[in-house]
Amino acid sequence: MTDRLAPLLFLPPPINTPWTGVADQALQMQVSRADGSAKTVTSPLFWHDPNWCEMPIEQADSLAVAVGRLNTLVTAMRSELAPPDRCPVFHGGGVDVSTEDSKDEELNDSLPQEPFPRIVPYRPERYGLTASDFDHAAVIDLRLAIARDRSGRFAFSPNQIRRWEATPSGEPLAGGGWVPAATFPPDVISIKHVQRKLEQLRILSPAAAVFVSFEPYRLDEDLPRLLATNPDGIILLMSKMQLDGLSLAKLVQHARQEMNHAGRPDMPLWIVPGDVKADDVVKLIALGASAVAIDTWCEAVIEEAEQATSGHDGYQAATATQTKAIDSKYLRELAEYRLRPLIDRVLGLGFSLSRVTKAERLGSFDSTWAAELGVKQLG
Amino acid sequence: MSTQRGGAQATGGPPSAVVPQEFSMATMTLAQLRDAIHAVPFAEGDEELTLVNITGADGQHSAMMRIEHALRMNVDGPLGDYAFAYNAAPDVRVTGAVGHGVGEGMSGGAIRVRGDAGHGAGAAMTGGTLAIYGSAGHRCGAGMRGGGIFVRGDVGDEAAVGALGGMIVIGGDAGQCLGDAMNNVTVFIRGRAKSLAEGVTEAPLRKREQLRLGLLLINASIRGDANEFRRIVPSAMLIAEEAQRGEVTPNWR
Repeated sequence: MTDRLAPLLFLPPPINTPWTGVADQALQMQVSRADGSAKTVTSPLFWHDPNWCEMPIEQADSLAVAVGRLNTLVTAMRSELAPPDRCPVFHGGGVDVSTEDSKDEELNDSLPQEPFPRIVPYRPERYGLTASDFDHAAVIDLRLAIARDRSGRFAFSPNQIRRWEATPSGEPLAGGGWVPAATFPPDVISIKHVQRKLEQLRILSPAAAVFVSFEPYRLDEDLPRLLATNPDGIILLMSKMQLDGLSLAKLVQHARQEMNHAGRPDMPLWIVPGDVKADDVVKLIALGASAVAIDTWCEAVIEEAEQATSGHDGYQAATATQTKAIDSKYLRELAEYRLRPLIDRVLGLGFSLSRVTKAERLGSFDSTWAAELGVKQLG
Repeated sequence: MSTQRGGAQATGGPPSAVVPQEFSMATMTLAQLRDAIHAVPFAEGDEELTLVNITGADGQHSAMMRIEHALRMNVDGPLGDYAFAYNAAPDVRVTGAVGHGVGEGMSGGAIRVRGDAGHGAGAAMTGGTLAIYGSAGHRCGAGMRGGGIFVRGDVGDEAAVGALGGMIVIGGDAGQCLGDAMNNVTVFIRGRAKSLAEGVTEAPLRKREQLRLGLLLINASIRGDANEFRRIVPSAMLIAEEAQRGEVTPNWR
């Protein structure tokens, strides 16, 4: 985890500020849908693009539940977390088969009966997406960016396709090869027509906010055109842009300014920044972001779980039911242990922001950062 | 948009005789129409589906999406974009043109369009049958994962782009780049394609495919002889087919 925005500092209130309290829900936000209804999002953190296919399907469901319990929005389709004949626990599938036979009352009692708030990825290709994904979604993420896999290809891996389409390993759907990713939805003929797609998604998922996500390489061209399509929110995908800290901060600030100029100051601006620390998350919020993705934090949990699981040979030898139950509990504890302190740090710093006027929240001893971002020059 | 099934069945009342229902899009919102369709009782037995006549169609967008009720729907008039998206069961007949994305993500049932369709017809569909008795625009069958698309007329560019499964039958001509990034999909075409995508080739129509295609043409009410069609498949699929080991090492890209 790198400290990309280290030259930016949080400023305390001026020393003559009177002693006042602070509301306890400073980081809650209201997302207004185009139909006028509002949706409350209780956390400024989300997991934007989990690579679920890299985990066994039961563990993926358990981890989604574990992160969802931490009040973090998680992106997931049903096909990524459970086979076609079963509803994932994360989607409100009730008692997990992994605990039905278990006498672990603590785990059973804590299993969710309601679906967790989630983001539905609506990719141009729509591989793995089913109609039931629209049910009870919190956010529909209309992705207008071409997917790139870990190797750098604009493609989906055989594992990804196998998970999404639930094909047997001996009969792979795409012949077991890479599948090229799409650039733009094939049934949308231009950016202008994105509005009609958004309207369709609002009908398919009446309770969800419908966001548009894109990579802001051409922010000045694309953002105004997308704002004109009337989304409920914007997600900037910057994790693969390899930006330095100052460029990241400037881009976020610039996007917010553009949205203000377009008359949308209250529209959510969500950021997928790549690797950041908890302090960076709050600095991005101070610069104009409404929510920030914590994908790298969650990926670290996956890596640690994989390492731990590989050392659990004794558990692997146990029955499948026992193994899954152990994984669920272990993943929940691991996610709690690793993510809770970071989330608390974000919430704590976020609350403290509300004690300071917007113009005085950030400062820098670095003259370049101060000048570029228009924050207070310190020293 | 959760789906409740069954209309009268859902409320506990037994379905009466099959009485055709009629709804007007001119006087109902899309949500009201969908609720009304799902409230129509199922027909008794499997021989005959309950008939629902829809009038007042006048280019409305996102109409009759996610219908999961097995009934027959006759729609009189044109519809806009994303008509019948994510439908699962109904047998739909439309008299009029439809816009972009007709039948997007459909997983079952049938949609028969007596008119032209816009771009992205049948995009991401996973099952069922989409028959277009006019012509279809670009990217017909894009990203489809199952089911069948029949187009009596022409299709535009990049038909079947990114399709992972299913079948497309084209009664007329195709535009450029037919079958780009296509896997596990067979395209039957009667006319000419401006160009085939890289990695896609024409293959002989084998006897069993002639029979299969002939039956499919009859089912889709498309006149013609299967022998008039040519088969377009991924090159690697053809190589595997010829080597008779497609099921053993099916790596087609």
